[in-house]
Amino acid sequence: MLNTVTNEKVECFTSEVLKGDLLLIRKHFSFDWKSEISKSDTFKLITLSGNFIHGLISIRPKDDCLELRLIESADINLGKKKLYDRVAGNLIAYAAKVAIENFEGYMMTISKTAIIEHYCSSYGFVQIGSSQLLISHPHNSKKLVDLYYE
Amino acid sequence: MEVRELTLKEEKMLHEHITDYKKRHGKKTFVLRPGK
Repeated sequence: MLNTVTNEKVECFTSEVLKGDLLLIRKHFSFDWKSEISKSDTFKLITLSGNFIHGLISIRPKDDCLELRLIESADINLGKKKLYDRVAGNLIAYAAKVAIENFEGYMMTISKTAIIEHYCSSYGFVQIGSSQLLISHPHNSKKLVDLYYE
Repeated sequence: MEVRELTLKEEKMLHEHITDYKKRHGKKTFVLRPGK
């Protein structure tokens, strides 16, 4: 992640969300993650100290690819005054790694129409036809891993 | 992201897209460096 105040890169990690994380999640995230945890595999983005959750992602297998169900950055990492940048990118790159290891690198998501262009230009997703389905092909998933995992 | 289930039409579209892509590009196997 990138500290927007100091412009320094900060090492971060992903690990599975535990029930004990829910209190912190309720405080800093707007989505109902408690319900999401029961439906999919949910991971958190943390720094070495591990005392704050900077972002969350939920993923699950969808036939022959990995489905990204939901991504959310913590409230402190949103908007113009965000503390850390690249939170979503790091989480998507983690999903890309899982996709490479299990689904030949194919991952998909359903995007809101308004942000399709953002996912395509920022993370290399491709829109399937004129649908809300976005897919990351194997080479793009590999590119995301190379970009975010140094 | 929109949190909902895929419609049957979308399921079909996704499956066809991946099948077609695999036919055109072949199977991809990437080896990630240790630590990645």
